[in-house]
Amino acid sequence: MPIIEISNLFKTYQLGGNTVHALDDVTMQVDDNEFVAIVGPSGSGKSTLMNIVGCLDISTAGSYKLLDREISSYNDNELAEFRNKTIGFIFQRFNLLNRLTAIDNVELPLIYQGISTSERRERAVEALKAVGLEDRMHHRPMELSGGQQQRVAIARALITKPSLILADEPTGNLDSHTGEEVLDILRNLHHSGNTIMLITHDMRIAHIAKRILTIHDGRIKEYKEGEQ
Amino acid sequence: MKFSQGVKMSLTSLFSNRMRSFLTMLGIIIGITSVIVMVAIGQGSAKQVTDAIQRMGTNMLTVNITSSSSTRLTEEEISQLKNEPSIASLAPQVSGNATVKNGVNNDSASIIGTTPDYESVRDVHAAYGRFITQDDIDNRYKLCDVGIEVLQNIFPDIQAENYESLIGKNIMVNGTPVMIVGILESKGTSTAGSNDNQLIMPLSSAKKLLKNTTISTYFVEAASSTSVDAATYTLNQLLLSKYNNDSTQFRVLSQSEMISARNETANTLTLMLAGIAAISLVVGGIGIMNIMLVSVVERTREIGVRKAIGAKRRDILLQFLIEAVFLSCTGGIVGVILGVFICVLLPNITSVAVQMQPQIMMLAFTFSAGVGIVFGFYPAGKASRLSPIDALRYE
Repeated sequence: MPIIEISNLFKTYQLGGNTVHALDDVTMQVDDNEFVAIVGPSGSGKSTLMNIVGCLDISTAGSYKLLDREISSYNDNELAEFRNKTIGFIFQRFNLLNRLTAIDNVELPLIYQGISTSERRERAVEALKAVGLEDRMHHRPMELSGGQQQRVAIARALITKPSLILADEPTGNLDSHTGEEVLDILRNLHHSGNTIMLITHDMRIAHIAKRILTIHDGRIKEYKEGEQ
Repeated sequence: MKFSQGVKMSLTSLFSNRMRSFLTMLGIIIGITSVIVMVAIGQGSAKQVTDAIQRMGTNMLTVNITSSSSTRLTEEEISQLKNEPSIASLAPQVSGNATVKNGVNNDSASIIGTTPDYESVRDVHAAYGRFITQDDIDNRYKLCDVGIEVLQNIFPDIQAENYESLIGKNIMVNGTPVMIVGILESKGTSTAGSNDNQLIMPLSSAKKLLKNTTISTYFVEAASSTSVDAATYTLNQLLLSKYNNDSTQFRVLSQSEMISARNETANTLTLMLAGIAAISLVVGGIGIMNIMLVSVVERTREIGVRKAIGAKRRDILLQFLIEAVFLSCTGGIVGVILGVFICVLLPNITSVAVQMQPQIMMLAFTFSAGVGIVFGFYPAGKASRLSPIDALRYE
């Protein structure tokens, strides 16, 4: 069953009088429990695609359905609520809040769901255990290594039990060893039944995914078919 | 997001920036403190004046003659007025300043020339000796009842409890010897000056001594507080007929009219002081807005992260608005406490009279909360409208 259905999607920007086609007639599907990588150089439109898939932005034309809902017609608040419940973000720069401890950072998405303190704590501890950071719960991001920060960010993405995990260059700010560790975590997440979309410019990293799509000048191509 | 979570979030960020939060609050603290202190001083001085007027007795009427003509109430008219049922007594007054001397010690005192009725009308009495009499006036005796401040200045060696021994002594008033026949009870100080730095003399001899024969003021005591209006009417009727129906030649003032006239002045003063203080409060509010705007720019990435993981516009708006309101409310509370502290301290270290007003404190505090909402709304709105993509990209 597909959880992402994109058909004839366009995104255009006006840039200094020129019209830029960041996405040009994109059609694709992602099934439940798939691990798919989107690969493309900078300026290829992969960030735009990620923003739209991540419900951070809406398309100029075409249809984007996530979990059978048409996202293109959502307003700001509906997008925020939908992001909160269905998408877990993992960013290149971790994007943790420096003033908060690891556990407070992990809890954050649940705060916006209005979940009680005790339940939040319980679930945050569980998520941190899943990434092996239960002994670093009360440290602030500055007191953690890059790899540990990214694992906190993964715990934050997991805590809402999202239908889709979006990882945008998750190893971009890490050395190759800790990068491997993070990719291992993603692999394990996939094995335990999560749908993951990995966005990267690096084909070697993309190969941990079962299926690879390339993007060039806003057009998407199948590169490696996933086994169904 | 639950409201309590928003409060918690805002407090965390305010506490992680303690110095900045305090400095931002300072504007509001100063604003609120000055509103409370300024109004208390304004009201305090108003109360002082009102009290002074009320001490003169609520039955008293003052007739001021502004006419430049020499027409004044005649002896017959005065005794006719005294027989009116609404009027208890009436005392004319000539007044002026004179130098009072005993040997080398001298003092500048006010001289009041009047009749024995003055004693009951103005409620001034001789503590020792006697008050002036009609006999003194008829014979133009040069004698006086003297206030204790005058005695302190010209008899510095004599203790207050021995003032009785001064009765019968002569002092020099503008170079003329005048005999002390009584010592006046102390009346204290009012805004109009000391009530104890005066000599009361028989009308006839005071006129001669001051070289001033025109009476400009009559003090009238109404029979009771309910007959004040009737007395005012009687006086007005008589004076109108005397001055050819020209009401600008004189003025009959009751105590309540004097109080309301003074109150009007005091309220204007209070309003002015409060206005200045309110301006400082608005400046404090602008300070909050300024810091919040800086804070929004500084925390653009944080806003982006929060939005990406599901914060709605309302959540971001609430977070920043709570920060602003918390700053202004805490500033307000600290300002009220500081204001009360100063109001309690002020009369102890200076002669300034203060009167604290709980309504003003409430108003000032509510206003500070309002300042937080008004000046916090723009930065908070700006934060809430940021696009998550742009905010995440912000360096």
